[in-house]
Amino acid sequence: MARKIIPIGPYHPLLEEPEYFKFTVEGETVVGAEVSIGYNHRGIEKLAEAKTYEQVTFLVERICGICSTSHPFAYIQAVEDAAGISVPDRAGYIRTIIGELERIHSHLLWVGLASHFIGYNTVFMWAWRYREPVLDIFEKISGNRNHYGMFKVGGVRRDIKKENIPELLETLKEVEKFVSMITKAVLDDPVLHARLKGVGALSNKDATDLCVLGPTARASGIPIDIRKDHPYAAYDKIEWDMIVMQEGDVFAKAAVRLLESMESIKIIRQCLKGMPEGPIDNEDIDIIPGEGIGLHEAPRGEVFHYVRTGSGPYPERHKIRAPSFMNVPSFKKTVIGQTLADAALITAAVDPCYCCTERMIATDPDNRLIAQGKDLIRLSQEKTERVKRKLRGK
Amino acid sequence: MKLPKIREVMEALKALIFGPYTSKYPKVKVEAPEGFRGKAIFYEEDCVGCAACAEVCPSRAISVEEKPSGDRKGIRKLTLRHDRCIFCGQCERNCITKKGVRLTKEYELSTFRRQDVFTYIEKDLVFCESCGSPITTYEHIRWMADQTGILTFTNPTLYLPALKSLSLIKEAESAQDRPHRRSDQIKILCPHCRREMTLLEEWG
Repeated sequence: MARKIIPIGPYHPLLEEPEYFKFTVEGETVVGAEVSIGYNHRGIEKLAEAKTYEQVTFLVERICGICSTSHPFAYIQAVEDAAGISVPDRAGYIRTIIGELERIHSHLLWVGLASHFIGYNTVFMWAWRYREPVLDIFEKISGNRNHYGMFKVGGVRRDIKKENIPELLETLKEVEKFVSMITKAVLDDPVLHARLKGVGALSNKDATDLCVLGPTARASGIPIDIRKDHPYAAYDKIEWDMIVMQEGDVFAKAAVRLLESMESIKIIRQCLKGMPEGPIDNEDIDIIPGEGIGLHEAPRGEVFHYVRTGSGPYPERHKIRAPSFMNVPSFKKTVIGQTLADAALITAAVDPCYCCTERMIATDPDNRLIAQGKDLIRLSQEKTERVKRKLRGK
Repeated sequence: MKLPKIREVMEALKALIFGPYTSKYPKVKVEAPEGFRGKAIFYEEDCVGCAACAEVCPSRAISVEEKPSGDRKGIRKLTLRHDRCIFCGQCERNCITKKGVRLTKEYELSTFRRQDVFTYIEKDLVFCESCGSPITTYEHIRWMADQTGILTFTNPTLYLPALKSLSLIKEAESAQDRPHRRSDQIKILCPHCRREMTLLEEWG
């Protein structure tokens, strides 16, 4: 049953990390999966060797749009590690606030996307509507909704003024109401239980073997989180919990992300209330030759930057490893034996990037094209309808 | 299942009454908040033409061009390309006068003509009276003289251009073909010539 569909090519304007999947399908069940990545090579590591340390901060910010702050956060810590620069406390708190705000809006974006694949378009619209207050906070703090430009070697570039803090706490309350409503709605809903439980389960052993990171790992029972294992900025000075679940299926991944957003709100509140006074920038900076590693828990996992500094004004070598690189190959294990209707959802559950699934195609064992990304989403939404009808029929 | 659904109904009612969250943008103009990083503009009275902004710009949006027009006169032209600007604000942070280039709240920058994205600023240059190469702009030297205070009078390069512009001293003769002399100590010299002249004075 071949269908002719116009493909949305590998280069989509909205993507940060394009990937290409090919599933081999027998009837309804997926029996094989192929993953290929490496489409969007932009030469960022090479460009970093021709820019000064401050200019590279802006370069790495633009690696990704949704986790725009994770890369400067890790890079700045790599340079500070290499040159032995200390950061004032207030700057550490402000960095934590920016990092956690980004986590909230990234998880809300994921919630919207996953519910679009399931067929709950209202949750899609509502989740994205509640991202707006978070983006408005960013606009007030940093001057821009997306690439914030807040990070600098030795501190932060802008301060959060005391008179703005009550307004920020108000907006945070509004977002918290929505996130807690969605969390309870997802965890209570029987249709979602039937649809998502047991789908695309990644066992603990597979997760450890594949070295997955972030919420994908924590949903499979691996308690890793860079904020707890190697604390940095203000994470060791405040109280918060790490969310770990055991099942590893899509339901667990959704629950981990939503509960993490609640924890993020807790962290931001503690930081805003407990921020010490003082300078926000260590002006006494001297970049000496050395090597440094910077780690940060991005919304998708641990992001890693390595910087080797030399005697010149430019970095000698800069190496970046984004978390999706480790999470994407886990599809090979989670998708085998599942139905085609679930394939779109399982690939989205790892939160690879915004439009990653639009480059998914399904072929039968003779390599003929059966379905494109749009059809797979439609299949997934139809399955939810069937599940709903079955539940009501009971 | 009834009770949980009521909290969702409240949200639905709110959406019904208040309508969508988005604003009707082209019809309703939305103003950016304070501190928004919009279009960057040069302010002529405050810019001294030192080109520090061009040096720090991460995307090389500001470029410098020195145009001598003969007889030790010329201009330095700074070009800001708005289509390359990433609105980071590094130029504003590193401007030596703090007011020469600033980011405004303007965000509607689309245009149909490519010429509209270029902004220029031109400043007069000061040339070395010995080798004839450009030193820096006149306003930059005036700014440096203001910052140095009374000690300006130890460095002829800092105080002579002001006197020259007020026509209090005559135009110096060209010194391009002869080696440095003692009288060159009170001429406007570029750093290279000043070092050569000082060494000649000290060591013969």
